[in-house]
Amino acid sequence: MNLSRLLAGVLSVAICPVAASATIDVLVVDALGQPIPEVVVFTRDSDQSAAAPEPVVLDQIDRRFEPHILVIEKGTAVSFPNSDAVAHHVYSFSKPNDFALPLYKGTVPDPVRFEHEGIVTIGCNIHDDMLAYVVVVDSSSFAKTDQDGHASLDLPATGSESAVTAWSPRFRGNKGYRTQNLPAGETQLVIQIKKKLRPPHTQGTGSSTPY
Amino acid sequence: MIILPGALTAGTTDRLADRIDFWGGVDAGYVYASGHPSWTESSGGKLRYTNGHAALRGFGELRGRLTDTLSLTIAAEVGRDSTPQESGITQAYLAWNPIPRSSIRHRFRVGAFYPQLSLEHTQPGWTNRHTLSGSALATWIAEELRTFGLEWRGSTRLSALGTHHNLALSVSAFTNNDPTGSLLAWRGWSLHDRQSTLRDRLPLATLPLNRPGEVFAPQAPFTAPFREVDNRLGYAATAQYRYRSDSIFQVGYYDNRGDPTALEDGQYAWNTRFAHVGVELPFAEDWVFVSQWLRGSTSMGPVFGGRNAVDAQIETRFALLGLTTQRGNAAIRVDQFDVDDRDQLVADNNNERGRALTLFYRHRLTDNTSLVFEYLNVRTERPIWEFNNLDPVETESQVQLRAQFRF
Repeated sequence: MNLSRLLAGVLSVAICPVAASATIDVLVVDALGQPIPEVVVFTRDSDQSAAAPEPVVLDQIDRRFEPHILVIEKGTAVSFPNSDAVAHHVYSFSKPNDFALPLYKGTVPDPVRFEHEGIVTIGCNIHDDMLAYVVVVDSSSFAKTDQDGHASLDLPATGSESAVTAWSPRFRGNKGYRTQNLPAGETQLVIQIKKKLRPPHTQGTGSSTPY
Repeated sequence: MIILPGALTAGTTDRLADRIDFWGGVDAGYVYASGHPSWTESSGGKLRYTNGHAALRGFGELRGRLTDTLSLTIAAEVGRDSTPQESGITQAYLAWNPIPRSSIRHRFRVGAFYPQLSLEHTQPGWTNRHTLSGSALATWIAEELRTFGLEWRGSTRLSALGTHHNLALSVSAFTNNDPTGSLLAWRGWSLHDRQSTLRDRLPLATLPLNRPGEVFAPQAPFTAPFREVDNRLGYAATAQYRYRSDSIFQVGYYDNRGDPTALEDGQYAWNTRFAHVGVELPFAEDWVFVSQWLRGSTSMGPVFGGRNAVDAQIETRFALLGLTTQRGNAAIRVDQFDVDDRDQLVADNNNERGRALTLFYRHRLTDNTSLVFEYLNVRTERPIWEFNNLDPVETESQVQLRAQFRF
């Protein structure tokens, strides 16, 4: 490697976070102003990761997927360990991200890499009530709201307005997406969901859960 | 979509133990009872045990996954009462759950298994979730209904994303349910925790027209509920709507299409058909309301006077309130049951009317050990009891104390 390329690399690593990025706070609330937790927020106006994203874990605990909602950058590999004593049979029919793992417990199957943007609904073929969503976004700038409805997003300081998208399975219509613009220079965005929310999903609590 | 190389082999459960699930349990306890001697002793009583009986139940359910989507389930019961075959296999079936390719899930079952009907019996070994003794409705299912055949079940979330509306439809075709209904006509409804084994024989009290020389003399002194007599297929269908995973509304229909003139080895075929409706509503975190209703008819014998020789309308309903506590669960249930004899054979009087109250409390000592108390009170009017020198109006009470172990 020649010296100038090495120098350029060091400089870009040192300078980029300071010069080109800003952190914004997104608050998602319902029609009454109450915070909504577990909402995926992301923006397309981000720097694409140079390297392949780090693998992440979607665990199975007490016949529930944990987390229930996972947001990842396109190309991320997701590992599906099984922390239960019973076997699980994980699959998704969400094309083109559909897949099926073999039945397993104890061992961890090789991770699944999600190469297409969109919502991937994950189920277990043995336990009907288990449900998870993997939200695949074409961005490295994404987050999920906390119990107070807040999420932090890293944006490149572009000097123009940015579009911030929120997604939740509880939002009715538009496939669960809401997009709102953040004016240039602003660091706070409130997204209000006007339509009544669906109740949150409870995994594996029903009497119909097969043992 | 790319599954990384090796995913199809590296994660597979190759160890046999990983492919087998087992659920089992043992109950041991004591029964205090009053009223008529039990039907299990060829008498008329509605309960399984007579006073001073030791209650014993063992059960096991084994599920082996033959492939990732094909499983074999076998369930067995061990009991101790006065019947000859209270211990044995209760269910044995293959289930195929192909991996869904759309939002519709399919399940196929073939073998001998319970129809989708009882909202109480959802635990391994078809164990009651709320009480020891099933409702009159569920008790009868345990006694005389089993699907010997093929069932398809399709289920779906009603729209793609996030919705909490789920719909499931089960349709089955079956054999071996021909004597089904004879117990309701000739013995009436009952409340207990006994499940018929696949080759079971349930005792019948002596009835006026079942004696030698009378019209139903060919009937054996027992009913074998899972005999095939007429070589006709029966069918059943159940539609279930679920909101979130725990509120249930269910409707269904069952018809064994029995040929009422068929008779073989002391067992008549009965034409038994009924509709059922059920609802389960959880509320206020720890409470659940469950109610089911069943109404239909059973008939047997040649037609005269516009009716089969035996023709009875059958009806039962119950309402249950359940509470889950930190250390266990409690339930109160009210049952009503009816048999309305509509035929011309006055001597074969199958009329019955009754109601029951069940109080239940389970105190959990450890994750696997519980102490259980159940009080059951049944009041019945059954005129034919006089023929057996029993009071035609009787109130039977039962207290059961049991220790339960689960593994």
